[in-house]
Amino acid sequence: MFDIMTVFESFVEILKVVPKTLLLALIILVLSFMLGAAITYIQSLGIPVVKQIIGVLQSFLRGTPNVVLLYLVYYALPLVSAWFLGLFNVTLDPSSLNSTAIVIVTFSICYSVFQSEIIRGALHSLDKNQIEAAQSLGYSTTQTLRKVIIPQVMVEALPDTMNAFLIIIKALSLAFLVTVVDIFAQARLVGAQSFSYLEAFVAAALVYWGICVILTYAIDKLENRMRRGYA
Amino acid sequence: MRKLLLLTSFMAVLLVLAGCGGEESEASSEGDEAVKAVEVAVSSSSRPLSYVGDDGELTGYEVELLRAIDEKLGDYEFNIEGASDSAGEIGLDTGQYDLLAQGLILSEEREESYLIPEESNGPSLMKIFATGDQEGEIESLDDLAGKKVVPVTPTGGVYNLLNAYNEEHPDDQIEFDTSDGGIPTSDRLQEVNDGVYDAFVNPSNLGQQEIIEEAGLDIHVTEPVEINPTYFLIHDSEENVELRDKVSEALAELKEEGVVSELSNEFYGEDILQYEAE
Repeated sequence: MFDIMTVFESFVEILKVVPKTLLLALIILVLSFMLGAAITYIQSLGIPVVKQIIGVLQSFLRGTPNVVLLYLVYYALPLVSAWFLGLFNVTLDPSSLNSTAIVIVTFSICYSVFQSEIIRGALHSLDKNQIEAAQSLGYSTTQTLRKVIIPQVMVEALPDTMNAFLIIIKALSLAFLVTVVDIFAQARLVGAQSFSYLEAFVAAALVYWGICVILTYAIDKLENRMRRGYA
Repeated sequence: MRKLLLLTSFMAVLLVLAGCGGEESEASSEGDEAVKAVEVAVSSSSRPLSYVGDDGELTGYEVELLRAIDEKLGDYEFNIEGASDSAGEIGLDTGQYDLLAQGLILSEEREESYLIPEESNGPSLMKIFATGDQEGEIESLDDLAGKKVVPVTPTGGVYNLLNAYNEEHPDDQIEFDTSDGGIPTSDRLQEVNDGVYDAFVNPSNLGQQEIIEEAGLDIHVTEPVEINPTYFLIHDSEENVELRDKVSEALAELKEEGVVSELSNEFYGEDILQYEAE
């Protein structure tokens, strides 16, 4: 009953949605990275009440499963955005909100917390003396940031960020809840057409694994390249 | 010693995997003479078909029907378990479950892959639930072209129905998205009520009428657009042939004795057997 040809056919079908899935994951990664950087920055300022509020939010996002948040955003986002735009006299039909937007918003918020931890860790690895040295050489804050902090922090954060990227790709299988078709959803569709779920799921696993192998290889190369001149 | 243990367990896993590919008759061969255990998978959240009741026990039309069959079959003992849609079907493929009950309608692929009792367990009525102001506008599948249709799960019969319709009507395509079945029926009905979607194609045996009345929704329910008998699917193995025939017999008896109608009235509020003749 297990047919290797079906696995191959499913594999080809599933490959069709890989670019879309990767793009979606990349958008989420970039957005969550920016949001995470903002969180880290705000937290480092240590403003009394704000710090506590963000702390609570962080722990809430970290402690709730993505699927729960996806439900919440699915129900709440159309209403919230319609209300918000209503303040500026822009009318929005809540139902016209794209399901891809719902996924991007949910996952970006979700993973921003993890990203902020990655950035914080990378920042910690940076020797404080370097900043002092830069300042003593007359670097402005922007210059220190651009020439000293960011290049090194980027390298430190790269492996973890890459990890986060893989986690996002896998987590996107939840997006089918709101009709966004990713790799796993495609596998289910292919499986439904031929009634051979097992083959389709095996093909999906192979696709995921393939992506992981290629990405790991590429990022390793990139990291080695970036480390040159700092190590 | 440890290494030996590891090795044997590894070998065991390999053997099991190898068994998946070839014949898988070992799976249900325990206790031949005595009472045979039958692993049954049902959906755990398809009220009133099968769901977890207030007391935490599975109940519902199909579950109670299965229990009635179990009582009739002395040689078999049903272990009814809740499983998600695709998990149930995969489990039936691999032989983890012997019998699957999810209000399933027949398709060519299913007839090829599984053993199917001759006797159905009741018809499933496919109806369209449309926004209240669409009354007169949406009455059948022909009216759905150009309408916003609630996303459909790829494991369900609705998916097959709409695909079959689109194949037959190339100029009059129904556009629909697919999605996971995670959004509850009650929320889908609410969305139709609010006009997010125009129409919701759904088997009517999921308690929609109750939801509509309770929430006071303005929804137009059409006549059945399709009537399909639903069947229990049985894992394809030599030993299960007997099980299939016995289940079929028991179903026929239960229909005659009026037990099926009773259960139908209890869970659906109407006797669904009246539609079966058509």
